Amino acid sequence: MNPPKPVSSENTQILPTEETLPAQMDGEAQEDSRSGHLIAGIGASAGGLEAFKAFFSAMPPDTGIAFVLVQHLDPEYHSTLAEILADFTSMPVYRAADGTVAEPNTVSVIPPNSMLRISGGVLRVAKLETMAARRSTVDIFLTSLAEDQAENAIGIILSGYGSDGTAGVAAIKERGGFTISEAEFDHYAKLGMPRSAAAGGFVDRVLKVEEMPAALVELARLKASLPVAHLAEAKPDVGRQLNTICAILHSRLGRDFSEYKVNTLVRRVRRRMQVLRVADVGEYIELLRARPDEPELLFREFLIGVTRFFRDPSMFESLTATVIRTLVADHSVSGIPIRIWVAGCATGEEAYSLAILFSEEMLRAESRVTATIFATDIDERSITFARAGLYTEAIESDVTTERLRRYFIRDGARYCVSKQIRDMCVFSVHDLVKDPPFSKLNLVSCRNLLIYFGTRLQRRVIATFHYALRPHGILWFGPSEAVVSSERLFTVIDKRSRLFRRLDVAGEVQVPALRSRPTSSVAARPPEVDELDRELVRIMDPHTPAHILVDAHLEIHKFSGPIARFLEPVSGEAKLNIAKLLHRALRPSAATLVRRAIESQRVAHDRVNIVIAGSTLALDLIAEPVAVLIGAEQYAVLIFRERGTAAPPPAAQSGDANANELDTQRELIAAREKLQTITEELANANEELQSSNEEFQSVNEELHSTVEELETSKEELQSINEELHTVNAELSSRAESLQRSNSDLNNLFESTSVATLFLDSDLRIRRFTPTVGEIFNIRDGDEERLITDFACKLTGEPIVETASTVLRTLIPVEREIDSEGANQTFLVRITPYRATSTVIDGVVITMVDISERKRLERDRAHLAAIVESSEDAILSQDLQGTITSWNRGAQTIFGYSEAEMLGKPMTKLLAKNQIDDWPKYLRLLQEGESISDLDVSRTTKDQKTVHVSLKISPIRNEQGSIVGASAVARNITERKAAEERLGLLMAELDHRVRNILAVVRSVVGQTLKARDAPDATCQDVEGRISAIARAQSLVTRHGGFEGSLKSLIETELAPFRTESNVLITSDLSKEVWLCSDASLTLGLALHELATNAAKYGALSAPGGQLEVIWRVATMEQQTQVEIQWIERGGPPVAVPSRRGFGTVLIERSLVHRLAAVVQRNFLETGMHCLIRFALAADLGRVAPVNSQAREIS
Amino acid sequence: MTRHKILVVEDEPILAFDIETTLEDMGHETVGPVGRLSEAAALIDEKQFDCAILDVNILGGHITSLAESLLDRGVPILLATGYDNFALSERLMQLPRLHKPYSSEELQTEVRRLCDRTEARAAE
Repeated sequence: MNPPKPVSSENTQILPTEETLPAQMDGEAQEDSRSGHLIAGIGASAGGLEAFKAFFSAMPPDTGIAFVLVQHLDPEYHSTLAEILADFTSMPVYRAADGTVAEPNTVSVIPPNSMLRISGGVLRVAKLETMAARRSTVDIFLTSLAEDQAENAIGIILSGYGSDGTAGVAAIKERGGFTISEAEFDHYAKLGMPRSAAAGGFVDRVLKVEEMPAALVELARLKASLPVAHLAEAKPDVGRQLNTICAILHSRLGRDFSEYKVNTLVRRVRRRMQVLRVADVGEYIELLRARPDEPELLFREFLIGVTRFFRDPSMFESLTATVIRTLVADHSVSGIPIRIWVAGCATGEEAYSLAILFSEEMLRAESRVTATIFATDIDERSITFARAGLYTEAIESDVTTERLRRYFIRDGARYCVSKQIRDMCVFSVHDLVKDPPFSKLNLVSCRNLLIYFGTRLQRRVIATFHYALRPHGILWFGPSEAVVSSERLFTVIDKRSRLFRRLDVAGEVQVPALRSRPTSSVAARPPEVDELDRELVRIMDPHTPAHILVDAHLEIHKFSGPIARFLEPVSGEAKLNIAKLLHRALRPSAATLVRRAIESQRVAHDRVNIVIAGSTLALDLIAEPVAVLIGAEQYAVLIFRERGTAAPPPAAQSGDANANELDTQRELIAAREKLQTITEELANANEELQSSNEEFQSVNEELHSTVEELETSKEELQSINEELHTVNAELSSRAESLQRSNSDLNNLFESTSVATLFLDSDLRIRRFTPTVGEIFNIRDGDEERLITDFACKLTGEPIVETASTVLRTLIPVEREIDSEGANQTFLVRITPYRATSTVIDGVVITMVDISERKRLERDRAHLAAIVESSEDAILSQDLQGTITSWNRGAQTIFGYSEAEMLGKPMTKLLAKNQIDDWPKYLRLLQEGESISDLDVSRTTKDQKTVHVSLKISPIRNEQGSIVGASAVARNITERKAAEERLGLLMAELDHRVRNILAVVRSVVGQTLKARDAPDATCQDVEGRISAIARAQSLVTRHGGFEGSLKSLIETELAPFRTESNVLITSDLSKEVWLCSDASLTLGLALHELATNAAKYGALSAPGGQLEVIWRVATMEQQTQVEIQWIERGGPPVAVPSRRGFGTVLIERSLVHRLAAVVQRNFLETGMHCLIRFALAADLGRVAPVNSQAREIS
Repeated sequence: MTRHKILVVEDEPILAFDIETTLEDMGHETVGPVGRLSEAAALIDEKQFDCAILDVNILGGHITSLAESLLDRGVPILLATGYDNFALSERLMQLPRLHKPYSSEELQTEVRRLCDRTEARAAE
């Protein structure tokens, strides 16, 4: 039921007496250690810094509150939190050290990698030992703060993930402190910690960070106006009004707290007042009446309690050893289910703990007996929480790892109780004060609950437990509780562990308790008898008439005086009821009198004659109601006053008695006797009714508990129903996804080109894709037939046999198999078919046509072989110029192996002077241009110089974008050497030819001289030989194959040139290269023309001028070369009289060799000659100026 | 016109003869001619001469060192060669040259210039 279970460590000190409990609970005993001012512990994790800043920005520096910040910190990180916060508050900010005093208006910050406690207002810093402790530094500090400061403690939970701090604020609230957590909608908040704290129900206010300081200021103000010293005085004030408060609660919520311990209630009411900032009790009662939710809030306040798994472990061990083991063993034999009642289960931890212990024991004993744990509590919210069975990570400290693993399921940051344990527990809302109990229980656990009850309520509850337990059933209390004043009902088994055994005695079932309705006089105590009273009673006892104290139900509560004579117990169950215990003659009228007295509240009396020990005794029976109400009960005192012996029979008295009167007398006596008999019968019937009533009552009780159980079951069923709904929804969504998968599969089968064949373990066809038909002769409808019945197109090892092997060995097989005729190749893969249950259920054969791939592979290998065998270096590079492939030719040329060069930059292959140009080349490549004829002179690995000609071309991918470049480097060292040799050779040849020509000239010259030939002849011969030599020399200078027309003209005219007599006009943009023959022929012709000009023409006289104009033109699709020879200013010209050798050279040889058109006009002004010839391919070529011929240096 | 003693080094006998006759026709005295490098070297030390006409490539090697030692002595030199600039040292490149095959006119012109330089030197 209502489990205001006090916080852990304290309760070992709590004795269940009124005197000690409140002092401890209120922390008054620790008054000295109090610093007297408020101390606020502020816990935060992720996002804490922002929240701290906001908090202190709004916090006035003179509230008198000491602040202690506990922030989760990285152990390695040097935190500057204190320094940062100093900028946001004018209060001094310290990094807490061991011994720092939490003084008012200061801020202390937890140092990294440590945990903080507070003791006597002094901070204690210890090193963090475990990871678990690191996650609970806030809890650790707040708990110690609660213990140390009680009502002066303030717990604030700011931003952070996880659940640290939840237990801490619970502790603070439990001890009367004030708690705040950050609001959900606060933009600073990481909600884990604040939400967890608020969800625990221990948070007084949920505020935004900016609003917290105002709340604290208000609190501090209230504290100041209500100093601790005055609280004791305030208490009676509250105490006096407690009846009113309880009455309001009862009328609003139907909950009766009238018999709870006063001090506890007072403390909790005061706390509510603190939260509401109300100083006056009367004012609070007004609020309680006026606000619709305040009774509920106060009720929650009364119920605050925390519990833990395996709280007081030693007691649990003892329980296991002495009770659980025996119970399980006994019930395993009998097979009767074990019934346990956890009264006041709060959030279910204890019930689950017991369930775990029973479960473990049953496992150990290999027992199949079932145990049902009825767990009840007055608080519906707690029960809902317990039913969910979801707990935070904080339970890790209470539950062993082994148990966590076995009995809990991790659900994110929470642990969910496993189904096995959950199913053992039945949770229901139940008020121990007014609801009927469970019955036939083997164990009742009611821990840390009675400490909140008054003595009478305690006794009644213990009696209820006596009723509920089976004979020898076990009652288990908390560490500070005992069966005080009920020793008759229970005997101690283990005092230390608070285990008691039910004694098989008549119970004290206090039926009225079941119907009791509290009244406003709740606080009334049974009249206490002091010493003097007791003495008076002792003295008066013999003198007073016998009397008994009974209640409205005729139960006897007290005997007094010489009562024994009037008693005559009925055989059967011993009862303290006047209907069972009084003398037979007294029963009817006694019962009537008592009822009358109580109903009318007036004294009632009657006269009765009874026969005791043969003599008749006249009695005055007087029933007087007791004016005071005891509890809810009304009492009456029944007094037996003797009036002496009754008169003798009237017959003996009257001598002359009137016969009539005698008759009447007799009749009266007979009637009286008859009445007596009837009365007795009535009394008996009454008794029977009473006992039936009692039976009904107990049946009713059973029924009640059955109904509770049914309700619980109903809820269970509902939740099962919900689960089924969920499962159903899941199943239908799964069915849907299955359908989708199926249709996907069908589509895949239809569209795939991979021939796939599913065979079962007998090699029957289960399923296949249409393409399988190309290989096996299978058609639709051939499912379920043996694959061996079908012909297969593939050669080599039969697939079917391989499939059998795979089925046997379970090792997948992969083969490449040619089709018949070898025009197709298939990649056949045979793997075992694993059903989802991992059972092997056949094989899957996939056949992929890889003919194309094969062909490509062959082509590739072919190309690779070409590249590899090439003597040229063939390599590739990416766009950044990094080498990506390197063939053997490259290795041969450069000396570096593939391994040495892959990944190296291309620049490694370039000559120094080319490296600067490389980015330009790279850019060209990226733009898609090739680089050809890049001649590189390079030092190889073995320090030889090679000349290579490099050609680099871009490589494009399929999309046409450039992805790299291929480079082919040809070793041209030999070519270079050959060229050099050739150059030497040509030079030598030239030299020899010139020498020979020189010799020829000398021989001819000497010969002519010897014959006295004229000088002119000699000069002609020499000039012609020189012309030949010059033409030859020009050709040789350009490689021996061709010579420049321009140079030829200039060279041949050079000997005749004086200052400005020769003007050469040429086509500046073009250069005509003539082959050596043409060059020689034209050279000789030009020499003749020049010689003639010098002898007879323009060059023979001063002032004469020669102009040579040559040009190249395209005429009739031929390249025509035209040379005009124009002489002017010379002596008059005459047409030569005869055609000499010179003319032959000019006209014949040109026409003959060059197919030229030669026109010579001997004009008066001077000779004009036009030479025009088509530049046929065998004569020469035209090239742009500057495009050098292959000149040999 | 002064009669000069001119050293002629030419390994082609006909050309040597041609030069010799040309020089005689021009009224100069020929020292040599020699066509072998060793003979030429010996002749330099034995005989007196005013200037020299040297073929570059003669039997037994190149006349470079010989020519340079003559230049050191200040002897004017005319080079006759079938090569272009090929294989000439920097210093020799500066010298007047007769390109083979040269006409007798060219030869006479260059010899005349050589003699002019010789006289100019003697005058210093």
